[in-house]
Amino acid sequence: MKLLDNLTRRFYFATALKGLAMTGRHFILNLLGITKRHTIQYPEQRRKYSNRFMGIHVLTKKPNNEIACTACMLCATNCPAECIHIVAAESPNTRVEKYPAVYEIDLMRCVFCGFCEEACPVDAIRMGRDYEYAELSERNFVVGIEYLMSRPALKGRNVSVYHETDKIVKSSLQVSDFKKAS
Amino acid sequence: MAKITINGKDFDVEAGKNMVDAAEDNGIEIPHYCYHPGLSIAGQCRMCVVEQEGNPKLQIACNMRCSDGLKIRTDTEKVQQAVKWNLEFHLINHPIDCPICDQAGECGLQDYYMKYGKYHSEMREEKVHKEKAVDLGDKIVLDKERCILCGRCVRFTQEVSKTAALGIYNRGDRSVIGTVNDAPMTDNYQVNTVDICPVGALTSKDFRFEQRVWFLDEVESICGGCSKGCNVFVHHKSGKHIYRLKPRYNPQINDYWMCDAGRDTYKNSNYDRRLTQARLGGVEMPTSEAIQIWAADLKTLVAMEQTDEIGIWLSPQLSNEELDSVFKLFAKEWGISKFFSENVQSLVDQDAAVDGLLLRKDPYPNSAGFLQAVKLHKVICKSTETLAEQLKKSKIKHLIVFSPEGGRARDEGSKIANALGSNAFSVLITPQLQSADDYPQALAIPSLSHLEKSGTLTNHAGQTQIMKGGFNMFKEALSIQDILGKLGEEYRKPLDSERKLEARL
Repeated sequence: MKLLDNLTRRFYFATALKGLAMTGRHFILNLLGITKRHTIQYPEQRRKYSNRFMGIHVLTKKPNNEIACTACMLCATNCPAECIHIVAAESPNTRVEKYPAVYEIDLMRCVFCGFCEEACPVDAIRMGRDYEYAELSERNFVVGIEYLMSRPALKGRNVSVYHETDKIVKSSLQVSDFKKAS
Repeated sequence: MAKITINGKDFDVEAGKNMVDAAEDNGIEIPHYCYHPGLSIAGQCRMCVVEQEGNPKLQIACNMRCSDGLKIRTDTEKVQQAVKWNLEFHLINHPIDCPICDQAGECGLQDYYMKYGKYHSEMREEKVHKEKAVDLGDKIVLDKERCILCGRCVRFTQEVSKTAALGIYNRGDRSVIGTVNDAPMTDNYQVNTVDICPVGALTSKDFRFEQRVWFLDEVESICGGCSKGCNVFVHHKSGKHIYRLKPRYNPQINDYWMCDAGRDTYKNSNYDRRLTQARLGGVEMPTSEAIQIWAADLKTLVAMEQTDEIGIWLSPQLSNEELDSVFKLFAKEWGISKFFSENVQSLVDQDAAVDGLLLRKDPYPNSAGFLQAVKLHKVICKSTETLAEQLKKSKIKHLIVFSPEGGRARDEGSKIANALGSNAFSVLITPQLQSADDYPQALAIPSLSHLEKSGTLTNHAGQTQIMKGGFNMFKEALSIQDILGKLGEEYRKPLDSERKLEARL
């Protein structure tokens, strides 16, 4: 047993050659295009992702281009990475009570699990499809409403939302109109 | 004592006790909205229905007094169905705008829906819409839509604060809570209506949209606003920011209530009013370094046998423990005899209830404890005016000021600061930024604010109460005991001549 052990140790060279041969074989096969290549020419060529792919978040808009978020903070509550920071405030629009004055997501902390999307009662946050983000400073990964709602990548994409809460907004409009009249 | 039976179990309870309370004491929850132990019984919400033996109809528990042989059941199908569909009636016109409602998380409707409701609504009609976000003065916002008309707030203004500001107007599903012509509420106890509101109809302006309640942690403490010593809960978020104070039940002192002036005292603890870094003449430094400088100066004075030139100004806002450690270190260990403070005796003598309810004249929470401590340690405490005189005559070269927080600090502080020339070395131990600004030349050391402290306070009636505190919002701010402990440590170290020079410069 000891002898065999010694021999294998002495002839490790053979194993190394074997490994090298494996690398060489793949190199040649890939070079000649015989096996399927797993790499792509990235910036020019792009991989197709599933429709359910979860990339950088999108904050949706109401039909009047206002932010749909009501700052209920359920996304922040549900977030396992604690990467969502919201400061709620009184909305300048008299028809809306609460809105997020600050809505920040730290993309470095975010794990893209989509729990925020699931928690949202008004469909105000969705997981987008963008996955390319590179910045020079860590600070730039903390993105705010401006970026999440209307970044260039979202141009031409429908991020507006119409749902039941709009009904509430509308009905309170009538009430506030009534209030002004009286 | 009366023997009652709830759900087949026998309990001994006080005769004449309210059934809702008696059940709660024994771990059985009877849901209720309109009933509040501090108010009269209205019997409006019908949520507390129970089945009473020998009575074919369901009875409301809030209007039931415990007497011998009373047998009730809360767990029968009949009761459960009654509570469930009662809840639907309450929610018929409720907007369910929980995402924007400040009450969410501590809302009676949410809690009971999850416990007793869980039905699918059978209403097809459009909800009745009423005014939202009605301004009721500078402290309260009213949402008429969310109101379930339990009338607790109305009874509070009639029975406790006695302003009768709120009332229920109109009839049927148009009924709303409101003041006459939506006139603002002005009294000092209005935020209590927010506390007792089981839904989000009345919300506090101060807390409006500030934080969701499920993020808040709760600490038991004592309000530092006056000598009443109301029991409070401090609601803070992970020890970084205090969001509000809520009254804590104490039948001997404040019952279920507290005043609005007391509620505002939490603001003194938050960042914008706090001294967060030690500083000397405007230059910021770590607290440990500041204590070193302080110890060096004290040491030179003691070495030159000039302890007569050390004066200490104290505030009755300090807790009993803090006073004890101050007197022990300075009076007992180092033999300093010049103690000054406000005229606490006259504060105590003139102390009286301002409005017959809670708020008192004496602005300090521990005046009685202060007098006791002075007596116990056999020190003589002179008035602020005497200190000012002595400062002007340069009889005091080293002044230590334990400055309180709140507006009072400014009044007393200006008296001292005006008299304080440049020839005295002054040390200011305060949680408050404003006080530090009043003494620009002083060595300011940040201490804990009132609500962060743990210790005991003795109120005007001689009741000593514990405040638990125990969180530290700013790293550099230490408790007074810690500061004095570190001072003692530094004092015992050999004198550093360089440091002494620095301190004198």
